[in-house]
Amino acid sequence: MSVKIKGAPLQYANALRRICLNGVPVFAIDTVDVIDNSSVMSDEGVAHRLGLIPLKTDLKRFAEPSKCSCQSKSGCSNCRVMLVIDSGETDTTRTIYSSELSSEDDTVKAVSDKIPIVQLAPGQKLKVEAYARLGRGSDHAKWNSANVSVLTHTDKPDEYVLTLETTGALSPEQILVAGVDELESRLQEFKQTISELKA
Amino acid sequence: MLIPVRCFTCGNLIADKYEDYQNRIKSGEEPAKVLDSLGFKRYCCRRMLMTSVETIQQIIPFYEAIQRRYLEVQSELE
Repeated sequence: MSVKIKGAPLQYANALRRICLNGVPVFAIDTVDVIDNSSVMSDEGVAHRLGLIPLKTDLKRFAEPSKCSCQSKSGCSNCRVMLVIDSGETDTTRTIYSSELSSEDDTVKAVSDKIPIVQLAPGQKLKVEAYARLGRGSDHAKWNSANVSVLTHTDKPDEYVLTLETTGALSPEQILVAGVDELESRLQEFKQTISELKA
Repeated sequence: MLIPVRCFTCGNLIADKYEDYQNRIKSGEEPAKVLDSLGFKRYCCRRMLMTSVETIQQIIPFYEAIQRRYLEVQSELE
């Protein structure tokens, strides 16, 4: 998606660009409990692949663990979602896809059903419990809200074009709206800090 | 082992299109055209699909053989 930004200073437009890139929280699997894994891929390998799967995000329903009212390390239903894979027994070699990732919440699910997680030979099993949470791209690239966020000049001064591309966790429109809010709250926080310094 | 879930460089989701890509390449289509039709514009994502080798396919047959042998032994014991 491309948006034309008119009348805003370059500094504001660039701050918005940076926040759209990695400042908006999105869901990603963060903790994986491996119950049974006899596949050829190591536990870490499976966990890494699970972490990178983009999950559909609903920003209104969930809070970041650091800002959640539960304030617990293990998380609550407002800041954490559990996803389970249980392959069961197989007679033939088959691939476990992201469609088998069953979520306890209907909104938080894999963006695509066709992401291969691991391939199992007959007799091999995979059973994991994964916990997804909101996070920011500044912590880990799996939480990057947009994978392309570019600001380009036009021939007129004070007019820029912001191009956004996402993996599907949030739509570019949602990222932009959330990005504006995020920038405003950061500026507010900055103002607060400055005024406390003066006093 | 398997196709990486995301592009190393830009973080775009690629894994879900790999199977389709492989099938179409094997049926004789031009890789460049397949990549275009799958919507890969940047060369970072294009190289991910073009150069990935799924080594898991080379390892799995051994485990299939182990399972076959196991079943054979089981049936002999009975």
